[in-house]
Amino acid sequence: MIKIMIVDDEQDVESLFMQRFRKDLKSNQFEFHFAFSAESATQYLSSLNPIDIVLILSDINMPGKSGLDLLKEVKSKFPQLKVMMVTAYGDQQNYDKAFSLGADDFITKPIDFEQLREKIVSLGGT
Amino acid sequence: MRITLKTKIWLTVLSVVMMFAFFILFYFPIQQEKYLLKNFNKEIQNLANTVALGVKIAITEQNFEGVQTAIDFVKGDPHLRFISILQTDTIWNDNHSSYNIKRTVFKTYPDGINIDVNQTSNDSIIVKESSFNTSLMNGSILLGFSTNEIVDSKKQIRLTSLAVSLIVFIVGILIGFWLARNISVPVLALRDAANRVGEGDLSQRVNNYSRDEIGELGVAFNRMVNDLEKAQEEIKSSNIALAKANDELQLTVENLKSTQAQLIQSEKMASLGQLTAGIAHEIQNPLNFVNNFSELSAELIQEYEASETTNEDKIEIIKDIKSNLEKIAHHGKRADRIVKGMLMHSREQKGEKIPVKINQQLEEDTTIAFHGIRAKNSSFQCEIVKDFDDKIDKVNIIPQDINRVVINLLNNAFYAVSERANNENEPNWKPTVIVSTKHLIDVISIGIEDNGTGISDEVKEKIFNPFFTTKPTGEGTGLGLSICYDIIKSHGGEIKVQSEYGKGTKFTIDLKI
Amino acid sequence: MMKNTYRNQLKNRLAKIVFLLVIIFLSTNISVLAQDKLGVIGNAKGVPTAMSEKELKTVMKGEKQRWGDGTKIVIALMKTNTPIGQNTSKRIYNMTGDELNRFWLALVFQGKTSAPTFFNSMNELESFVAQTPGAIGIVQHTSSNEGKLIAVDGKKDL
Repeated sequence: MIKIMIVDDEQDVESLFMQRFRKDLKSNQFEFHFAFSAESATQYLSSLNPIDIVLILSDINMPGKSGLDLLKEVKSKFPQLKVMMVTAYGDQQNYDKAFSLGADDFITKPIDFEQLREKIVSLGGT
Repeated sequence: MRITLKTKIWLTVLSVVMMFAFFILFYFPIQQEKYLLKNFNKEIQNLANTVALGVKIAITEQNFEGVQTAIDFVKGDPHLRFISILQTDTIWNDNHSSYNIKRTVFKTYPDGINIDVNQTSNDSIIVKESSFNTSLMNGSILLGFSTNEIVDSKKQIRLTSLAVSLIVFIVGILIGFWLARNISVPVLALRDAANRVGEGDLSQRVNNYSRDEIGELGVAFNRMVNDLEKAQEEIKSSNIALAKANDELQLTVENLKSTQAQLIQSEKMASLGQLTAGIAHEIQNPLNFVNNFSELSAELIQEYEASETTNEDKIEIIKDIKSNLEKIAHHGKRADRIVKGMLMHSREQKGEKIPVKINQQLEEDTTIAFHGIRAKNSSFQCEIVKDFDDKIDKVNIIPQDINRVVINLLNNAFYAVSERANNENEPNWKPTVIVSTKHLIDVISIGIEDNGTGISDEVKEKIFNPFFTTKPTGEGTGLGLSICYDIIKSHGGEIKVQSEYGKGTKFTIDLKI
Repeated sequence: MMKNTYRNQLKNRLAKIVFLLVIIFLSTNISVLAQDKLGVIGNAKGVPTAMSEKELKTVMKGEKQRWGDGTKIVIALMKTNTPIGQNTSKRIYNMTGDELNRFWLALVFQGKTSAPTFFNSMNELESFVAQTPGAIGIVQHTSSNEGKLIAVDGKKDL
């Protein structure tokens, strides 16, 4: 089972992901944890012992701490964690910044869920 | 009356010359004649004396040399009329009690002339007498000279005087002419040159080579004009340089203007780009949801229609579909709101300015805004203070525009106090919003103040930028204050913000009356 | 005034006394000199060695200006206050000394002739005549100068 944390300020993301991956969830292939801000994400991470999640999927534009801030923090504290950035801005600046901070992948909205699933599976497999 | 320098010189020279000429013509000959007469008299007297002495010596010493020489000398003078020896005899009366002096002519030269022994000088003759006394005889020499010589001399003197005065007059006139040439002419030339220089002709120079003060004046004048010319050329060249610099400046200004226009244009483009990016970002999220939830709903319907689906599952599916539809509607509206806001931001049409009672308008806006926020959050509590200036009556505004700005600012204020209420636990703090108006000299000032969270300085800098927001995604478009700014600008007013982080914020709108 | 009158009277009286004394002195002299004889001397040039008395008088009175050869006549006389001079006036001119002076003054004044040259001593006169061409002089006739004298009417003493 691959445990994934999804960080986005849009709360409807939870409903969307639950529905999109409902089969995977039913088959207990994936498990999601939703955090609606970068702050709550780091809070959650520090509460885990041991850290059972393998992948973080994070939006960039959020009120308060941004997704890039979170990426930087996570990569310094938990280098083994895979982080995948998601944003509506497919701009080069964010893309370059994300990779320089150690992002493992970068996808743009609208999300291609089939592609995402494959990426998750390949990441979870390694 | 104006007497020119030339006239003055002429008059001076002429009067001096005239005076001198008159002196020579009248006074001088009279003096000369007097002197001449005096000398002549003296000379004749001397001759008489000499002869008398000669006679005395001849008689007493029997030496006739002296008298002979003297007589010869006297005879040699062509003006001699006569020379006589008078014998003076003392004639006693018979009893020797009284006597008479008797003067008789002893001898006269030339011979045969009758002489009056008592003859004296007159206009035509000068008569001089010199007495001698000897033991042999007492007597005197009577000498008569013609005044012809004097008359001739007088004539000569008058002629000479006339000639001399004529020469003096001519020389004087020549001197006057020379003076006029040497003083008046260069001075006039200087004056004319100075006049022409005054009229702006700086090529004027004077040719004056005399080594007197006028020459020096000319040299000084030339030097002055040189300096003037040089200075003018310098001014000219500096004027040209200035004009050039001015042209360059003008060009720079025009370049700057066009650059500014380009900048404004490119900023517009940038803001359009930003707008587009904003639209993309802001619309992308709701659209993603709409798309995803509608796709998912379609999948759910297929699942619902599938034969193996149980009734229980179907109920779940219907619930999900319903939830999805709600989400689609929600995000659709969200996108709609964004688009409308943007349209408003970019709209070009203008409303009409009409006189509006500002205070009343603000009262209504406050109520609308408060009810708006209460509709969202029924637990919202806030004290609203209204501080309106009674002096304000109707003001010319576009009411819908100003309403939008005021409601926007009020929403922000309510949001700020509710945020502070949510975040902080401050027992002594009471959320308060103050709406005020103030009639200043030529400005109506509207103030909307809250004691909410406040704004940090870095945020304050960007607060009127489009799409800048501090609200969580979905709660604000980031266009509100930017639109407010544009609206107030287009009214010819000003919008300002004062804020202290953690203490509160005050927006002020100044509308020119 | 009174004083002056008195003084004048005194002066007049004194003058008379002096005048009388002079007359007495002069008359004694004349009486002594009257016996002396006169002679005529002449310069070698111009002056003839003999002449008539009439001719001599003409020359002496200045009526003749030049000698026969054209030489200017120069008259040399002893001063009238010398005995020879007195004698000369009397004998040659038939005048007193004063009359001679007036005579010559009148002539000289009218420029008719040159006046004679008067001398104080015989020696001066003689040497003057000897040295001056055309000069003629009246001297005292002595036995020693007889040879030099000009004969007047054949006589050497006048």
